[in-house]
Amino acid sequence: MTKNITKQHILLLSYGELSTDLIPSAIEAMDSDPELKGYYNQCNRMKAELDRFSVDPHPTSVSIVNEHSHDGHTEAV
Amino acid sequence: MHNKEIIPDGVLLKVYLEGNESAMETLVRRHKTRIYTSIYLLVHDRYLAEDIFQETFIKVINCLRSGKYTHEGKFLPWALRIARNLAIDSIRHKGRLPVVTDSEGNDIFSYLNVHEDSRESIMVEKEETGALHEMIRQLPEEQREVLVLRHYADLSFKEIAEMTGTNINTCIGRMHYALINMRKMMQKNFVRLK
Repeated sequence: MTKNITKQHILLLSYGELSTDLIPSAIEAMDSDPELKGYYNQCNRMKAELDRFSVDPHPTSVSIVNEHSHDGHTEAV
Repeated sequence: MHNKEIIPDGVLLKVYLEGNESAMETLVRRHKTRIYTSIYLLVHDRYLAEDIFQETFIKVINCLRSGKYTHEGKFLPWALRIARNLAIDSIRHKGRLPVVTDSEGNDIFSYLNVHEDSRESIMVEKEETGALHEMIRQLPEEQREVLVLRHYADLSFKEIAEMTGTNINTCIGRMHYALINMRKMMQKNFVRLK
């Protein structure tokens, strides 16, 4: 039986969160509904676009954190 | 070295508490970009984000040391919850700043904002990622928070719902509109979608 698949389900599918038992229904729904298929492609394009943005902390911040993690053990000893 | 990447977070925490200092360094290295990017996209200030990043891990370490950590195996959502709370506190603190006016009645903190912008302009960001950041910044706050926590922090919608005190359908709805709004802004700004 095909469950009624909505854009919410497709968004969950795109982020790998759709429950396994609903995935066949979602694929079937996209095959028969170009709008849902288009939405799925759009979600994936947006994800690829968002992936282009990431920033790292300054190495000094990382050093401070690492030093603090060592200090903890020094104090514990 | 490479093998450390596949050791689960929970195991790294355990061996850190047993005295293996490099385990925390591995956790920091593994999650620093995700946590820092999320903080930055919530506060939009590199300097403040650095402070919050450091404070987050210091709280994490102190909490581990004191034996208060109970989220075994779920290090990232826990660390991100701390980071998010610190980010919200800092934003609220900014909002509580008293309005002090100059002799002409202008808010003198508006000068500070100008200063912050100029500080930010010193940052070297690639043009395209800078535009992307600006679009994320323009999203309504609730949509931006879900987008940041789902996409950049990699939390599940369920975890985001728990963290933000909403339900999962609300989170999915906010993400849906965030993506729609991002797409509109990209089209408006002629950003080529892949």
